[in-house]
Amino acid sequence: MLAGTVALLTGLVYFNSGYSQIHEKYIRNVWTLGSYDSLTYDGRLEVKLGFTATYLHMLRDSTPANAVILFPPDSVLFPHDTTSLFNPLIRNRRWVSYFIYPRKLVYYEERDTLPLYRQVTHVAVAAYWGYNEVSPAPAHRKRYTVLTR
Amino acid sequence: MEVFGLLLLFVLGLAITHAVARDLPALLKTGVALPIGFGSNAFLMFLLDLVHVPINSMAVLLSIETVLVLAALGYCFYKADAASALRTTGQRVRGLWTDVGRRLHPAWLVLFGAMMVMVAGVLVQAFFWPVFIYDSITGFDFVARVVQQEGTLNNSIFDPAYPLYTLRSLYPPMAALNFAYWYGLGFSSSQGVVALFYVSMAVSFYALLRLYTTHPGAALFTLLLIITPEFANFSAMSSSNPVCAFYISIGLLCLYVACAQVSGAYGTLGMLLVLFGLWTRPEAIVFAVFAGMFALYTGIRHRAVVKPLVFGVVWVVAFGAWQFYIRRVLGITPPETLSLTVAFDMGKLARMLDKVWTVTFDVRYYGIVVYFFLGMLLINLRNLFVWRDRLALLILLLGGWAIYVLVFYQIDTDYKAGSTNWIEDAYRRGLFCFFPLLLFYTASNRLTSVLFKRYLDV
Repeated sequence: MLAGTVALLTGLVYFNSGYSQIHEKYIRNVWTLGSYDSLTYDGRLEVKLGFTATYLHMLRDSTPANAVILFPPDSVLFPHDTTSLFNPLIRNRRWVSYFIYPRKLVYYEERDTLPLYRQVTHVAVAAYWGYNEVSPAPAHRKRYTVLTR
Repeated sequence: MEVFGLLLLFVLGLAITHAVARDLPALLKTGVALPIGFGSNAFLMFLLDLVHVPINSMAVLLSIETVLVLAALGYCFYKADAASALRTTGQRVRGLWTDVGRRLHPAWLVLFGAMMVMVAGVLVQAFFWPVFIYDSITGFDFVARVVQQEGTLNNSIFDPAYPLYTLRSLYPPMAALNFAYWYGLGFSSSQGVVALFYVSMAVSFYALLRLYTTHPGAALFTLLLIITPEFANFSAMSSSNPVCAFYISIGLLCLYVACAQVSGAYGTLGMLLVLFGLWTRPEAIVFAVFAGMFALYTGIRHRAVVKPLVFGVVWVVAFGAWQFYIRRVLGITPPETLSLTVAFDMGKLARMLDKVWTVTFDVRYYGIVVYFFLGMLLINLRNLFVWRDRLALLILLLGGWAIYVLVFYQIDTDYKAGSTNWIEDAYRRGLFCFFPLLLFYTASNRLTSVLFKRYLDV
């Protein structure tokens, strides 16, 4: 039975993509997690979700808890001519709110329909967009930052 | 505080299990202790929230739970001489190891080692990575984090002026409340809760299999369950599906054992687990209806209908309480996705079954489990007809699956290209509830039992 058991387990891992993926992820790759050991919770989330998580953490850490943040329009987040750094889920208010709670957000496209727009306190800058939304605009411009309105 | 809070839930679950279902194997009690502790904790937090006690106050929660643990242990002492019960449990645990030791088999050692490695892998991944899946971020994990901040379920996510809820935020609050408790204890990622249910599933399933097969047999089929690719993947994520799968599948298996062995203890435990399943995900109602009919049938057969009827009322109250809370307290009317009138549409049925077929038999998701079950069913057909071998289990399994598929047929969609991926997403993960039953049949039928007991035990 011992030989049968070993043969079965080996066969499953080598001949079935589902089991080989499980073997890879939960047995072989567990040892590689050590290389991320020094990362904080936020850092690990950024490994999983990429630049979007970094950007949202920046917004969260640079604004007070009661902030209402104006988000850039689609054309800035997802330009037609270049590959966007953002995850499409950044257009999902509920998904974004998880990362910046208890701050609220208003998408630029909602400025005429959402009354919350009048209470915007900060502007999220992406690809240099957003400087026209604050007055006076700072002289030194950054590609990604957050501005107080 | 992390260890104390977890230990408290474990002891609470163990004491409740012992109080309501004393005559169970020690290993099974150990396996279900933490899930029952989590289940009781969710009900406690919900009740405290109803009377406006802040449920993010860990001092309050842990104090009440300590009192509950002492009360449950006191009840065990009063009711059944817990000192002797503890001795008996100790003897049973020692007996189990002696039993394992006596029948120590190299294959069992390999299988047990593989199980340990797999469980450790899932635990490490779950505790290491943060929550990142969409369903949890826009649903139960978000609710949990806000509950931990604001101290109530009726929080700013459900503010009508700035609503942030999704359909997943309106799921019964088992996952959200326990995730909130988890964060309150100081853990950083709710995935740990789900991974602990995965461990509980392995222990409980092994304990139930041991009633029908040998240690190597139980180890083999438990390993096949926990390495089922999709199930293992979701057990390392912040998903409520493995939690629901634990409550429903182990609950149904306990109800089956209660029917087969005329055991009140298994029946009580089964009905308690299904109650917690109902409090986890909305689709559990399908399984609860079927489990209720099965429990009532068993009750009538064994002339003990009071308990199933009482539990039936408790199930309805528990399910209804959450629906009432959503509508009256949160002031939300969830969208109706199910049609209650049956209109036969051959095209829709064919398209849906095509997707069901593709998903169910996809070896990347479920490995060999479905094929193994069907093969065993085919080989065992003679025993099924001659001896009605595990007929009740098959009825529970196939009947439950048929009703489950019917519910998907009733969903308001046409299953054409571009429509919501109900089968590829919801059905795919809902199948987790069936795998323990499939493997239990495969392991416990007459042929496999004889094979393991006669030839593969020493």
